[in-house]
Amino acid sequence: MKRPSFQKHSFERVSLISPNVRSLGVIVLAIVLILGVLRLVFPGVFTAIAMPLWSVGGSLAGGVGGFTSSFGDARALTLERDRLIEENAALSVELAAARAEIRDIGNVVGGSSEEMLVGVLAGPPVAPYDVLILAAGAKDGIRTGLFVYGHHGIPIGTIREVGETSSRAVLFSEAGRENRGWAGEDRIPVVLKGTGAGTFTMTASKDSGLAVGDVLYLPGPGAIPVGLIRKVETDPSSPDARVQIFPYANPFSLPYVRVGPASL
Amino acid sequence: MIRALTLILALIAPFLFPAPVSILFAAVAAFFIPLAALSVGLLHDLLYLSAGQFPMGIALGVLGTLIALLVRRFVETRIIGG
Repeated sequence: MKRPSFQKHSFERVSLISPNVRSLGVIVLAIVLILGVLRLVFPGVFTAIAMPLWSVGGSLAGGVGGFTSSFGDARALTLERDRLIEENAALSVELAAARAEIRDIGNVVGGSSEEMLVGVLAGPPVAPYDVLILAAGAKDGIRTGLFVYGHHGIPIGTIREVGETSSRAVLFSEAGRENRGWAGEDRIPVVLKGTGAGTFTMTASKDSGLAVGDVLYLPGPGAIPVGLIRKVETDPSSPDARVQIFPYANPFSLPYVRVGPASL
Repeated sequence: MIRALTLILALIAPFLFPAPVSILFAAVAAFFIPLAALSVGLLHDLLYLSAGQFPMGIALGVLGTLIALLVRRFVETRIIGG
């Protein structure tokens, strides 16, 4: 009778990572670290390397947007487009009048007209942290602290880092960033807290008199409307009300921005 | 081949796709090459992090690499030892 064999299994020690995988990972990590050094030492070169890829990303995003919108109801879209064209024309007239008024006021109080149109290389949602990578830098007159304005002159952020040919703007809606502004016709002082991706939140006293529909302003050339109050949530156990805000500016669709001082 | 493809996609994703998609590609690449997660996180922060912000990409990259190492160890132990 054959006796059962109790041959011992040989257990090899399993390493966390095989040599091939380890070396490939180390090579990739080394390349990324070299890029990091490149960014620190030659920020302009780093941006030049990244620029073509960002351009492809922008084109892809545009293509995908056009493709998905083509699935909509064509007739409804045409009506919507006509309505928007009319609305846009009316708003353009209103805006031109308002800008002229601001310019006149600026001339009286000695304001500056230093402002430039700058292309956006990358922004949300590709760039997290509520950052815009702008295609203009110190060479073009960009400096830290300048304001960044979106469509219709709405202030959306400030320049935080400047390279030779590119710069980084951080939006007011950066998570945790506190921005002093005003609310409503009575210009009640408020603090708008950024919650990321162009959105804000705010807490205010229940007795502050804030109401749904009140416009919120941030400092720019005067008080610039940046959104309106959508909902005021109260809790009997809290003396404060939590305010939901509808922002006017959408950082997800900014092919270009205007950069200038706080008071243009 | 698949390993190289996932790695290339993960490294290009921060330039082209929103952050959640980049994280997805990095997670897939990290399954084959654990250090890919850290590399993608580092690249993400090199591209987009500004002064005074928390380096979330690096933090997620380290976490992803550690998880990938543990998953690989678990899978390999099961295959070889089981």
